[in-house]
Amino acid sequence: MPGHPGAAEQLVKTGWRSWHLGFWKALAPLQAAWDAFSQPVPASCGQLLTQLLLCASLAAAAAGLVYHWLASLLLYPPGPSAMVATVCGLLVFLSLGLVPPVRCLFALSVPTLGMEQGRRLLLSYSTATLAIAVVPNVLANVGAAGQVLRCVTEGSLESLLNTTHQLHAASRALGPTGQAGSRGLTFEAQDNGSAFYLHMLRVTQQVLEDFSGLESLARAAALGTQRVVTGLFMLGLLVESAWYLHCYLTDLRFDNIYATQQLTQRLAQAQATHLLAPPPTWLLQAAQLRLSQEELLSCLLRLGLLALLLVATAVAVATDHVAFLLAQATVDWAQKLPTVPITLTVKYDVAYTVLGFIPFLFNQLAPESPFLSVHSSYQWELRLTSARCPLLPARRPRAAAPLAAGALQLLAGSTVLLEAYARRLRHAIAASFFTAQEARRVRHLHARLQRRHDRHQGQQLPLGDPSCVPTPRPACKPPAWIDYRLDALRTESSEGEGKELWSCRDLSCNLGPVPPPCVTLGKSLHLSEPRFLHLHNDSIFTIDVTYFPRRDVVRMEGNTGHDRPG
Amino acid sequence: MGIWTSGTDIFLSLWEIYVSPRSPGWMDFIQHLGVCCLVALISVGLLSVAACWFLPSIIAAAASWIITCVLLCCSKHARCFILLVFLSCGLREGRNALIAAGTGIVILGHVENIFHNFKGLLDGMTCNLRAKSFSIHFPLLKKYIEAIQWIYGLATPLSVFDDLVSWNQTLAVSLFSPSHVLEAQLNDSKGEVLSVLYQMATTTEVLSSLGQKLLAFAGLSLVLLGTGLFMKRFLGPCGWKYENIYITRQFVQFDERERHQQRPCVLPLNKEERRKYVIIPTFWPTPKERKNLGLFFLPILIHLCIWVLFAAVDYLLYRLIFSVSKQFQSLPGFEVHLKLHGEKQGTQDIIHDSSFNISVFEPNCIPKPKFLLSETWVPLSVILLILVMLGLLSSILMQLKILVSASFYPSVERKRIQYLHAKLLKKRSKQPLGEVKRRLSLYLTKIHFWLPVLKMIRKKQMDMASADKS
Repeated sequence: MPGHPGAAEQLVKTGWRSWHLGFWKALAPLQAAWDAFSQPVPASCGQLLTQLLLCASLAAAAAGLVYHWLASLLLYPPGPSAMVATVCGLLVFLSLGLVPPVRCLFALSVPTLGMEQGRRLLLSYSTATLAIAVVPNVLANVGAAGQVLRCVTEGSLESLLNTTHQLHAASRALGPTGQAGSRGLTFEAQDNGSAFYLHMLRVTQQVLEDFSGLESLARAAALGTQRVVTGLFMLGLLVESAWYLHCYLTDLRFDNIYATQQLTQRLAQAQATHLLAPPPTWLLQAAQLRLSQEELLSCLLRLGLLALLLVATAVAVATDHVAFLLAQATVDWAQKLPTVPITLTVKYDVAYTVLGFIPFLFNQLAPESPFLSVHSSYQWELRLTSARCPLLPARRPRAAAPLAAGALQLLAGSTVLLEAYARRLRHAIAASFFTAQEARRVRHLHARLQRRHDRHQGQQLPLGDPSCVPTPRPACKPPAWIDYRLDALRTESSEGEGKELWSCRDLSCNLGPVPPPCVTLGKSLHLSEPRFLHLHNDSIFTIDVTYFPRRDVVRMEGNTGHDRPG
Repeated sequence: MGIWTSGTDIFLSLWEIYVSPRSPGWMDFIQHLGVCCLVALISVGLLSVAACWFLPSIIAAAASWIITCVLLCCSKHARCFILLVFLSCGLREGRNALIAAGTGIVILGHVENIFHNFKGLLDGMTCNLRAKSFSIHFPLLKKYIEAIQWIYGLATPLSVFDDLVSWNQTLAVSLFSPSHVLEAQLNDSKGEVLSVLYQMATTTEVLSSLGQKLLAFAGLSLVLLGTGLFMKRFLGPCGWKYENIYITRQFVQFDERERHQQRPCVLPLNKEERRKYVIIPTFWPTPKERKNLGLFFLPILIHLCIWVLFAAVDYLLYRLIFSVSKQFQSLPGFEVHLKLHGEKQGTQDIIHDSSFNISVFEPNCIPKPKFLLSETWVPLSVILLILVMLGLLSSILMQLKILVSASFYPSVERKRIQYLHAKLLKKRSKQPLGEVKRRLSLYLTKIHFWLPVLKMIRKKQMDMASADKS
């Protein structure tokens, strides 16, 4: 039944066409907007209006992003930030509206953001976010520990001075009483301790000021580094997009590995679809979502590197947490230090009895007459932390910054996977903006596929084939001997004798002014080129007959062919 | 010169024996076996030295040696593989392994030192509290109580009527201070903080040692995988294209043979070709290799910045504690004297004098920070020096890799030579004229490229002019 597979094929085609039609209808407005945006000169008022609206929207978005970047992330003042953002917005609007290459550059920046430069930008943002959060936190926790040191030192000193003060008061109160017994106690202190105390306060204050200076220095360093890095990466983004556009316009072979719809149509028109029958490994299907093996391998390698950076981020977050735990333990320890109350009580009673033996004889208790009675009580507290020195609480690490950094790094990891699609999108954008250049590139790709097919089929190359057209390369300088080549070709064509040909071959390759003979035989090189392509074939006699019609040349090459199998 | 020549001859002879036995005879096979055993011994020894935790015992080393001997004797791939592994240790994989080692040294040294200094700080604080409370406070109070007891204990007013008057005196001095609570609190708190610290330090040590082992294992795996990948690419179906930029001695001989047979030759290379292709042996890197050199050194610079960052954090903490200690040491002391004096017939003499010296921070308790400079940065400097040397030698090592592979697989080498020869000839015949590039490069100077609106305006003006003419 020959009709059955045909019917199934038609059914599949019909379903595909209907689905494609529905999808096309849904995407029609987007396609129209993109056509208007990528047109160098608008063809109608509708396109002009669409183009202006799109450029205005993009300029407003760019201005908003610049303002947010300056004011929120880099902490510039709002007034200058708004002014700079407005000026940038106006410049972007004028550039996008009037200069199509700038518009293409802007469009190219979007997929380039998903590639290496964008990934570096994301990683720099995550690193800066983490540094801004972690470094001050660690320093604050270390400062809290230092504050504990200061408070404990102050407290112990205050307690000691308080003790000496209390003892001094007690000794002064006991003075006149002591004199009664002809013995005395003197409590002498070198100083009242105020100058000493002020000195100590000044020292600890100086240490804390040094520490806060260090914290401010670290914060300023992190902010400045982020500013410089962000500026450099934005500049790198634009430079890379510009470089891609330049190479696209000047090098036909640059990034010319996509089997686009235009190529397919061209091959169909030329009835050369057999060139894609086994597609080469380097040719990428632009319309397909499947990645090639090379793309997958490069993605895996880059993901490995990003995993290392993720480990470093985890180490930084762990360091912050460790510093917090240490500071918290220190502060809790200081807060738990007990206040030891001290109470000194002195009771001294003196009584006398006159003629004590008389009541003793009558078995009676002798009445005592009180002579002296002293009751003193002194109370104070042994406090180990100063009341005037508040303990700084340990600063808990905020979860927002590490989560933001981790999210940015995961986003960078996703850009690794999206990089292959970004490359294809970049090529599609450039093709939309410069259709003439894309047509030239498609012709070049067609020629390349034709050369590959001919090489594989083993067919001879006709002299007028387009694949023989020389292809330019960027930064390609013509060699100095090209003039000699042209002169030699001219001389050779003018004479046209076999003896002259062989005499040229006999020249030595080491002569300085004369170019080596292997490069003067341009025509011979061209004719000899297929020999290497068919080195493993046995059709050498056919080639010789085709290219060397003269009898003596045929005889000589025939001898060489006979020697080769042996 | 004679010694050098003889040494070279001996080495080449050993090399030929190692690559493959000359003939199936017994004598040649025994020589081959001897050379293979020597190479196996060297490789197992180096592996034992590099990863001493990997081969802890002599029995394991001996077993590895025997297995390696058998593999080297039986398989040519194994012989080539192990030499390429040695050469790969000097290339990118070796660089990564050394960077991992340096990172381990930094983490073990500086991070542990940071914890050590912080622990010293806490110890100093606890020691200071203990000294203030139990060495000055309570001894001072005790001495004061003794003084009071002395004053009133022996005070008896003298009287002429001793026989008629009798005295009775009572003295009670009490001090309430629950110092045992403070003692217990200090001990418990110190234990708590130090337990947290010891837990952190122990965890850091365990994690860093485990990370060190994992990094060493990962480095070794990277070297083996990289070498395997190189061999696969070199021997694969498109092996003649892989890294085929080296003009070897066999290539020169092939070109000479082509020249003698009256066929086109490619040597000597022109300037452009000389910049791209490398004539082995050469010691000056090509521009492409210089770029690769920059890529080789970039991770080294990044990791060097990370190491310096860790050292800076450690130095800052050291500097802080050192500054605090110095400031505390410079403060003067504060003396308190407790003097007891008695009065005898009008004169007053001091019987006893107790003095107490009060300082802000006890000298015995001042923390002494430690800064690791020689312990960490001497091995780091050695590692950096080795990395720089590896970077400078990377091109030579790559050439050696190609030469070793070519020695083991001459058929693949012949294919590569023929492919390179044909490629050079084809490229010369297809030299671009530069006209197309010149034409394409002119787009930057055209005003219509940047502002197509002007072109449209001029076109409209021309249309209007032609309309006016008609």
